[in-house]
Amino acid sequence: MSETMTKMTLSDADFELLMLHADGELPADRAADAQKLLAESAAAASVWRDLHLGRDLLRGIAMEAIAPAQAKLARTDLSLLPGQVMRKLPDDEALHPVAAVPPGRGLVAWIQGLGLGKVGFAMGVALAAVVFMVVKAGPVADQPAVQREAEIAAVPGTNVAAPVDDPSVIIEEMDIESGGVMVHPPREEGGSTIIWHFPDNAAQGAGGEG
Amino acid sequence: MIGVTWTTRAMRALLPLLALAASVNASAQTPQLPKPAVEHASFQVRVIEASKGTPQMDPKLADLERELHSLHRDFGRFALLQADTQNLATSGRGVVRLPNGDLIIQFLGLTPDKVQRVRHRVEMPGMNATVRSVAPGGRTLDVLQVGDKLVIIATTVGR
Repeated sequence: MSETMTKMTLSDADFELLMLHADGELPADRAADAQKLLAESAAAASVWRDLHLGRDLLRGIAMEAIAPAQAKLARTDLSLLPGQVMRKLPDDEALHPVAAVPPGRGLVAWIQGLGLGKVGFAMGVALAAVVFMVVKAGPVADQPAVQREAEIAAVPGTNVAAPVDDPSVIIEEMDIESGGVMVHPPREEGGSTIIWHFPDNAAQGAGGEG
Repeated sequence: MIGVTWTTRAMRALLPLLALAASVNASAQTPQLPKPAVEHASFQVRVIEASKGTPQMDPKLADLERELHSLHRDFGRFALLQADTQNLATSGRGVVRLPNGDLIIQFLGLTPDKVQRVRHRVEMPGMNATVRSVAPGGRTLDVLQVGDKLVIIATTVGR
C-alpha cells in the first residue's frame, strides 16, 4: 500500500530533485536517484514532462528577446570587463572571477581558461560578445601571424563598416576540446560570420611566420 | 540532502500553468496545421583552400571574393576544393571531408521564434564543436590553418 502511494505522489524534495536534474545540476549519484524516481513514479514522469514543456517555452521567448540585445552588445565597448567575467568551474558550485588577460598572451589561453565544457545558451552569447571585445584590444607581439592577422581583421574600423544590427548567425554553445575559437560578426548586411579555429600549438608553431 | 525551499513550492504551484502556457503557445504557432514531426534544412558547403603567393581567385568563389580577401593579407590565392549541399532531417548528420579530418554537421531543428533559425552543431575535427542558430540565407566562414595553408569552410544555411 505504501509502495503504491509512493508511486502516485511526489514530495517537495523529489520535485526539487527533478528540477535540479532537469537543469543538469546534480552529481552522478543524485542523478541516478532522479532516474530511479522517474522510472518508478508516474507523477514524477508527469512533472518531468511539464518541466521540459516550460523550459522549451521559456527558451523560445528568450531566443526571440535576446537577438536585438546581442547585436547591441557586440557594438558596446566592454574593454573594462575582462577582469570581472565570472566562470563556473566543473564540480564546483562556487563562482570565481577570471583573471584579466595578461598582456602579450592572449586569446587562445584565455578562451581555454573559460573551461567551456557544457555551457548554456546565455554563456554562448556572452562568450561571443566577450571574444569580440578581447579581440578589440588589438594584435599582440608573440602571437602567431595568422592569429594576429585574424584579430586585426576583427578590430572595428579596420574594415569597411560596423557590425549589422540583426545578426543572422548566433553562436549558442561552444565545446572546446583543444585550441581556441574566435568569432567575428559580419560587418555588413548579408555578410558572413567568420569563425577562426586555432590549434593548441598555434602559439609555438607559427610564431615566426609572416 | 537537498533542502526544500519556498521557491520549490512556488515552482511546483506554477508548473502546471507553465506547461499549459507552453501547450497553448505551441498550438497558437500552428493553429491549423499539425507540426511536422521531422523538419528539414539544407547546408551548402564549400571547402576553400587559401595559400600564399600571387593573388588568384577561383571564379566559382566570386560571391565570396571580398570577404576572403579580408581574412588575411598574406593569403591571396583561393581555390575551391569541393562543393556540396547536404539536405538533412532533424538529428541528421552530414560529413564534409577536410584535409585534416571530417567535419560533421548535425541539424538539431528549427528555433521556435519568428525567424525560424536553423539550429545545428558543427564539429571541427579534433578541435571543438559549436551549436549555431542561423537564419535562412545566413552564412558562416570557418577558418583553420592546416600546414602553411588556410582551409575555409563556407556554409550557407537554407530551408
